[in-house]
Amino acid sequence: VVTTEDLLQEVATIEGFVAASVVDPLTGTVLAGASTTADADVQVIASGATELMHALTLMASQLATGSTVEDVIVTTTDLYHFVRVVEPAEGETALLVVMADRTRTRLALALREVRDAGKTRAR
Amino acid sequence: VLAEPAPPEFRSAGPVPGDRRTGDLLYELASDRAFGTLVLPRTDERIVVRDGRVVLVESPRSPSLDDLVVGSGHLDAATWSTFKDRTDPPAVPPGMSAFTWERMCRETTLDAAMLVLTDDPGEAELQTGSVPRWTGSIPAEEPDRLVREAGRRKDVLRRLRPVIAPQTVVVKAQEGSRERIQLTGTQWALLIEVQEGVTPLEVAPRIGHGVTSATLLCYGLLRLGLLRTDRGDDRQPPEPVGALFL
Repeated sequence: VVTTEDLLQEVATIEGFVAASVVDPLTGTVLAGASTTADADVQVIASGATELMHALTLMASQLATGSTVEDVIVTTTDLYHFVRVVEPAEGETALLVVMADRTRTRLALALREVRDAGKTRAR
Repeated sequence: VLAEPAPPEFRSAGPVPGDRRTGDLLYELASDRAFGTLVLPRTDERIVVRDGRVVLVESPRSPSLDDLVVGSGHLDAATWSTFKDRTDPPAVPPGMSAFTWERMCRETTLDAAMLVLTDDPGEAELQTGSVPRWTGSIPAEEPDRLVREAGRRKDVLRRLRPVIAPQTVVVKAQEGSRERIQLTGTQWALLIEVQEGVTPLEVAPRIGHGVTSATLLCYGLLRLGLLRTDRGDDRQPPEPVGALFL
């Protein structure tokens, strides 16, 4: 059985990995989190990611082009923040939020790994 | 692996003096690494703890796990009952994904925790050893994290309150002027359930989500113009709203 912890393990191997969480996209509740540093406040990042996705989802709903939001990359001076919409089970949606150190991470490679992790689906 | 349940042993922890809250009791249970069910007889609320960490919180004031699992149609009542009665239950109820099970357990606990943890517990009894076997696979929460998350959710609902509360009746907005809108599966499921008007508190179990989630979903549909609050309806709660859920 694939769980939220399994999703986290898949992204923990990304070069420059700092922290990751699986987040309920409606409430911003962290369902599972992992971090290599005490400085990373997973809940604050999860809440921010949820607000961001609410705004983008509202935009996609109103555009009604048939396309949906897949992922968002936020770049700060020292980190990459990846926010990926995943479907861990049929009819279920979650946000996979990953933080990585910019100096140690190759963006394209890391994004591919985040997307691959999001393909995992629980039974 | 759960220990063999001993016959429930009642240990009175109360009446709890002074201004202590139920959340304070959780820290004591954590330091004792308690294993059992804390029962609050006055409000008929229950907190299941395993090794001092919180497994499940249930309150009659918010939808129970039974309500979410059966009310949403994920399981029929007989299958759910059989799962709970088994001496060797599987990690996840048959027919449910691990993710859905985990989410429902967490939503039930967090919604109830918002109501229970800041209350004066009155009399409290710890039924030592009384932990249902079927809760064995539910991830346990540290009390500190649970208290913080319950507080955060309460703040989210407080910010929404001028627009919508868990007891606010919502109805479908008039069609006609509506532009083309694209919805998610969960939004569709909620919209189908709205019919003649419903509150987030009522609709939550029917879509298999907690009350906080249902309130946020309704808020999103209000912003899209697909729902409206039925302010003139006499079913609206008296102000201030939130008397039941918050």
